[in-house]
Amino acid sequence: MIPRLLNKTLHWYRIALAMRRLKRVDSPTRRHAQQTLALLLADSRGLAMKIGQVMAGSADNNAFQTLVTSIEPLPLSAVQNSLGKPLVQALQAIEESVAAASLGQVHRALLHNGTEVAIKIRYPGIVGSIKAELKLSAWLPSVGPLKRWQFNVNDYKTILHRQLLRETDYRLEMHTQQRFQQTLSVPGLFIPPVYPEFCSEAVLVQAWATGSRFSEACTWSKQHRLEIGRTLLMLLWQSLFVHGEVHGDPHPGNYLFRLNPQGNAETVLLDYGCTVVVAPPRRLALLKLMDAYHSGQPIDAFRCFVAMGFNAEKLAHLQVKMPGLCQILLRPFLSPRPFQMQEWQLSTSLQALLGEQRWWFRAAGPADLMLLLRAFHGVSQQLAQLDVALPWWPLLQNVVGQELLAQARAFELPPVSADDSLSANSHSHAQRLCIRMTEHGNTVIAMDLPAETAADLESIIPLSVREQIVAATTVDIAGLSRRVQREGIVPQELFSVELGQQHCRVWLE
Amino acid sequence: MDFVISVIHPVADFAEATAFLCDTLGFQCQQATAEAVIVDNGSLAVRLVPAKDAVQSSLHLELHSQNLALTTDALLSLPNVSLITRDITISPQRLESRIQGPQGIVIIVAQAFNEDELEIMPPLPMSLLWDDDAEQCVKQMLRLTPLGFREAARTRITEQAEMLAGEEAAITVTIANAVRALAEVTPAFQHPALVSALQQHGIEPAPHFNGMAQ
Repeated sequence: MIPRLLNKTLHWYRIALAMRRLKRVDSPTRRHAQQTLALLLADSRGLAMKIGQVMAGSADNNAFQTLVTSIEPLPLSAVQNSLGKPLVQALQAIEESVAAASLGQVHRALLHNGTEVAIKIRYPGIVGSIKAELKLSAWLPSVGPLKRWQFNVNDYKTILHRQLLRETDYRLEMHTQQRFQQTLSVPGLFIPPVYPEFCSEAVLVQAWATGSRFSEACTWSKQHRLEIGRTLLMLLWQSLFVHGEVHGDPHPGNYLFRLNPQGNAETVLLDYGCTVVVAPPRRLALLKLMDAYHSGQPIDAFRCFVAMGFNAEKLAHLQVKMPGLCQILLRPFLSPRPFQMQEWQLSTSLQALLGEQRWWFRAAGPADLMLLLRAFHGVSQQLAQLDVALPWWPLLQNVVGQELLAQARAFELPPVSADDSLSANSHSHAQRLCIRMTEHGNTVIAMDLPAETAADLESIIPLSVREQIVAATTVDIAGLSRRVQREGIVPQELFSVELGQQHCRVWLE
Repeated sequence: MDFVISVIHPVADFAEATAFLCDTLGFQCQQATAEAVIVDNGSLAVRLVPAKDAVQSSLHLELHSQNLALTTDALLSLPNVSLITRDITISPQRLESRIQGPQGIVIIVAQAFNEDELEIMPPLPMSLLWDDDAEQCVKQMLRLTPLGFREAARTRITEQAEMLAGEEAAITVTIANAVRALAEVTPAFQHPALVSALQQHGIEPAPHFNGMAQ
């Protein structure tokens, strides 16, 4: 048992190292690093593979795609004990699996009544393994500046843990799939019906569905690509705004595409293990914001985001930039023409507007928003790959209808305390890190850097200067960075030292 | 930032070159010295300098004309001028003649043809699918739009019709979307003319104009 645990721990440690490496490398070596990480993640079922699938997103051309499409299934004999008696009695034939995923695998089968079904069987022992790995996953590195921007890491962990454990119970997935099937009405969408009488915590039985993979659908005619794009967008709007529950797992393995008897493209949506529930006030606030920006009506975007669950204190750092931020985020909805995804340039635009401060936006967002953003991002990627332009706002309007729009317009945004909205100003977040070095009264070095760089002073002060400071003074540069991370990036004198004929002063303003 | 202030053309005879540029092509002489003559027509300055060798370099000047034949004939009637090529089709949209003037000056007379002269209807900048009758309707109505506004109108009407289709969750623009877009994009005081033009093309616009100022 102990060697196994050690092996697991070592495996996670290697994954952590590979993730760090992936983050640091430049594009020529990035693909190799991706492949290394993908191999490590694929080396075990469960949590590691799940992480790899999230990293794969819906792009078809990265190394993590192997985790989506080519995982080796277990033989039927290894999983068949999970099938319940009613199902075994109803089965006429069952095939070996050709589709394995992180938590289970799918077998094609035929019932005695002639119905073709897909049986998803959970891997034996996977729940225990997931629980153990969730404990070990604390070893994963804090990818990105989680600390510096005060990310609530515990919230993220809680969401991840809750979601993964939820995904291991196929009865919950069965109920979700039934709910989606009963409530959603989107042109071109097909949700396979489930057979509750054969389902259990470890087995999900649904109608067998066939179709092409997304990469193949991207080569179809413009009409069919437009139909698929419309279905994907309307699915997102309807599930988010009308029903308040969004399919949160947009990787390509969860979609099949086919033509119906009328010759129109049909999207088959699979796997309802990961969904995001969005409470009415949050979705009404988002719709209110979209509507106001589309119609050019004045709106307090800050309060809308707070109503969506954003942390007011962190978001307050961006208060003056909110109008510009909304223009970027809502751009497809504001377009007077069908929107071509290549026009968006979302990351570049956000970087240009916010610079390092974009991390405040990410840190301010509620942890469960991560799954919703993943759904949004998935659809955006899919539309870009389909290479179709669609009219976002008219389609949204069609989906939500006038009544819900009116409800959103009338929705009273909850008040934001003056403390919250002003906290950033009262703490007056520093704008610049200033470094000045003088010699005989003459300035020899004058640098103004983004204030956020103060959280990593060691990397910006040359080694030779650091050595002089260490030798001649009691200034603890690493300690100063830690203090800034801990107490916030507020205006302050960091240090001022004499180094022989030179004077070095570093401060935040 | 550096920028071009004149084109330098070496010539053997200042007087002949200056006379052709000023008397025939409408340039103004700005400065004349023994070292250089500068002529200018408001958008182009030519600096004539003495040629240092016997080889004559060329100065190509392009002249746009609404009537290539007439302009070519007028230029050929001038002294010291000869035809190089006549009525060469460069592309369906452009026809050229080349005329040799004095002192290495070559005049390219060009005539560009617009979509009406070419009797073509450029495609609509479509993102969605369009029913044939919707596409033809918009193209025919665009024919009636003054050329100067037509390109902007083409884009605006196409976009509007596609947004209207989107409101119905459709990916195909119908004749109803197209007529409605025409009505929304056309200024209200021109609606009677639009209605009449549509009717002449066998389209009954009334249902699509409901609720709109006419």
